[in-house]
Amino acid sequence: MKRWSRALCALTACCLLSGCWDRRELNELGITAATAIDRSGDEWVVTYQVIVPSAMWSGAGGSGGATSSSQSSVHVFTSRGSTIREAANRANLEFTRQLYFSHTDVLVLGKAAAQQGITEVLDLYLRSFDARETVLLTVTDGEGSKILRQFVPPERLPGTAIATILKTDQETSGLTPTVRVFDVARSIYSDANAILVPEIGIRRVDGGDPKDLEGVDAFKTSIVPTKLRLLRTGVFKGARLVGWIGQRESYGINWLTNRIKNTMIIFPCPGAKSDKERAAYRVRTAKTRVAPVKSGQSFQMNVRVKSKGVLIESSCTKSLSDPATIAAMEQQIEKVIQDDIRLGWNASQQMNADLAGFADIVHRKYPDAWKQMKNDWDQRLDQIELNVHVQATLENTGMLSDTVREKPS
Amino acid sequence: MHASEKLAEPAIVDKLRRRLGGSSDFIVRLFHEDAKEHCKYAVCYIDGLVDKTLLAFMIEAVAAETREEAGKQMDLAKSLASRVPVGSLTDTDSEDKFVEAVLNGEAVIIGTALSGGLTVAIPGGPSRSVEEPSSQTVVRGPKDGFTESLSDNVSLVRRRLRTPDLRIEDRVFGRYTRTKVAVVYIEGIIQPVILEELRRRLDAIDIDGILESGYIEELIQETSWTPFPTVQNTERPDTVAGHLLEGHAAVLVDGTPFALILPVTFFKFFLSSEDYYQRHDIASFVRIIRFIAFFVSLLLPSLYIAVTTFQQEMIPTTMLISLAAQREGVPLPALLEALLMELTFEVIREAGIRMPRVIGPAISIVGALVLGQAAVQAGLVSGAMVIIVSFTAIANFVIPALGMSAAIRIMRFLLMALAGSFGLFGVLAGMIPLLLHLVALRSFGVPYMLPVAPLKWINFKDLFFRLPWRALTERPAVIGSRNIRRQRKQGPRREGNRN
Repeated sequence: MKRWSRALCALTACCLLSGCWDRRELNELGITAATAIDRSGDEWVVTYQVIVPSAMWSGAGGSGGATSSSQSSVHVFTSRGSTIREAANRANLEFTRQLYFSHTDVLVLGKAAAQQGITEVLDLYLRSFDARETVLLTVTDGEGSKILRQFVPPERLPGTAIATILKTDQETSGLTPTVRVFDVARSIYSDANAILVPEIGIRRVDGGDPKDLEGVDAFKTSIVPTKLRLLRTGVFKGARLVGWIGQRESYGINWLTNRIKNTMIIFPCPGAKSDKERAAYRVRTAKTRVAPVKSGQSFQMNVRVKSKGVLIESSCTKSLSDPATIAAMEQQIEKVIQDDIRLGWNASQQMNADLAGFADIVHRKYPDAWKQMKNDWDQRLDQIELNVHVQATLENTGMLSDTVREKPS
Repeated sequence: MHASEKLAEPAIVDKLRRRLGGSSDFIVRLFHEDAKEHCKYAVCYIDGLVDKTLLAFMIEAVAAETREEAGKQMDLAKSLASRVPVGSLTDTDSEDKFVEAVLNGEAVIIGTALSGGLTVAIPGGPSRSVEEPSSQTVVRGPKDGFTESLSDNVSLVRRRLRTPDLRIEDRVFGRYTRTKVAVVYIEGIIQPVILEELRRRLDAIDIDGILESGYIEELIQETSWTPFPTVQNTERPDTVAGHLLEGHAAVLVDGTPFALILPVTFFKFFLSSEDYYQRHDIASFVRIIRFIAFFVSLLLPSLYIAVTTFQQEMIPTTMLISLAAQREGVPLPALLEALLMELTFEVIREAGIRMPRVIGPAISIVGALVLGQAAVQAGLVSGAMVIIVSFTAIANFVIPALGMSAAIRIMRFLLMALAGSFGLFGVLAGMIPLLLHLVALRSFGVPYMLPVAPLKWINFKDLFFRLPWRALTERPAVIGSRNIRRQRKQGPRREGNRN
């Protein structure tokens, strides 16, 4: 009995003395939805978009009702420091809650910080327990803190909304790549050493003032003067931003890197008499394979693209019930994809950045040749020839076969 | 009758009266041929322990015997046997046996002409009729439940198992209560080892009173240091019959409708007799629900505490925000909040059992409105916590056996304390010893976690799922492995089976 009571005492002491040391109640947490990192002189400027839970959830407690319309659902503030963690620590000089980064959806890099290099950011995100390396990365042409101040009506959480925009684009059109912090870290250690990061920016509608979207009033109108939007794509070599490419180019590179899952392709009708005759093809599945072939001192990249999809819009005059038309359409689609890929690759060559990740493929297939080439790989990109072969399949034409049009008079 | 004249009684009657201390319910009726003569017969019984109608028959028979007896020297026993319509007659002569017989609800006939006495078993007295069991109700299945009368209970079981192999062993326990206890089993199915062990443990009982089968349960169970029941109790005769067929033994106790079933394994507590009456697919679904309810009941509050105070990163963002919003302004830490609500529920529950039926609705209003809604609106507890606690409480009622659900309730509190101190690590640190404890437990030598540890695949046919009866051709292993087959191997032949 004595032994038992002693063991019990020890157990109770364990619970009471050592327990709870890292306990955090939910109402002590400052849940950060988005973070922006800027550079100002020698200091890191970190901006946090902290969720205000009571404004998010209207049924809270007795205060209930429509609190949500009068209270801002996020609180944005900034702190500075010589390191990012120092800045985060200093945030508690002015903020009541512990900043909590596990639920951060998106990280916005300011232009200055991105150009200066983000190795510190990568280290932080990979090292710490609560900040996740799965956070989506975007870059902005200006200060990141300004992006965080913008609301994205009707979403109540701007940070989550940015992440949703990125993911939706990836899933439905693939115009811009979706990049996680982890992907950037991996690219630094890869042979290609280059990666694309989508740019987010503020687009003015009718010359609106970006300040208009900063308050709760953004939810009170049906049209907003400015919008957050995915614009160009930032080219990172190593951990540094070196330039920008347009959306069409990044789309081509997405094809090259097998990132396209679901997209839409507009193509001119076979035998079209005017520009008006166009059709839209929705890609349901797509697969890209790249195989390098050594030719002399350079390489030929055999790119094979297979895609399957359906017709979703058409103004073509030829009858779609004719298999020959379908085959012709497939050829048109193949041509459009081929052009996109070439456009993307040209951009990559111009930037002298191996955005398609050919270096790793070459390294794997020709390890010996790679050893000689790896030092001036980026200069050799110009000599690489692209051999694109696309096989597009049009699986069905939708619920209608022939195009709707007026009776020829 | 003859109040004025003191009649001579047989000496033994006086002794009996003194043994019983002149208790007022000890009745002696004297019979004589005529007023002057000596007492011919005396009938002794305890009022309330005998059946009044049968007693009347018997007294009439004895009176007739007294009148007609002049001249004839016939044996009273034979004579009574022909006259008294019911009750077994026994010749007895010692005083102790008379006392025992009288206390057992028998009438004792003592005659001056007889060497000893006769006892006639005419037990009766107040008893409840067979009703639907109150604690284990089913939708489909027999509606009769055990009563407080042992003989009724035995008959309810016997009626379901009309086999000569059904054995009923009577025993008497309690120095003062002299409670009749019947051990019931099916010879040829039960493992003799288990039966011997049961007999050995029953023999060791020496107690002044047994008022309910719970006494015996505690006295014969393997260890008292576990919250988990190692003996099952039931009010349902069909449950007893079903278990007997699987090689278990049952202990019926006079004075209580709760019969004991043993040995029993952990998983047995999640089965209901209804599982076997319903279609197998529906029964299997319900069983899965019960096992889910088990985990919910055991773990939900502790997981909630652990995740909201330590491992917030495990909650999806939108849910986290909604939970955080509800916790805005709640003064207590999540652990205390949960303990407060759980204790409140336990109090309401206990009050609900004890209180008179009339006050029932009042308690539900207080419980539901005041403690649920008002506590949330007053900002004392968060809405999510009320949902967690109520769901846990409801899930706890899904488990068919009350003993098991009580054990889970206690374990839940321990796990909550651990979760509040150490988070998910604490929950794990609580679950591992719990599992070790369960694996180490035994019920009459049978491992508590039987079909799982040690692994017996054959029992899985009727565990998490109940396979159709055609597939259940064998009795569960170990417990009933003496007579393994319960159906022909092919199963019953179907009419119109294509061949």
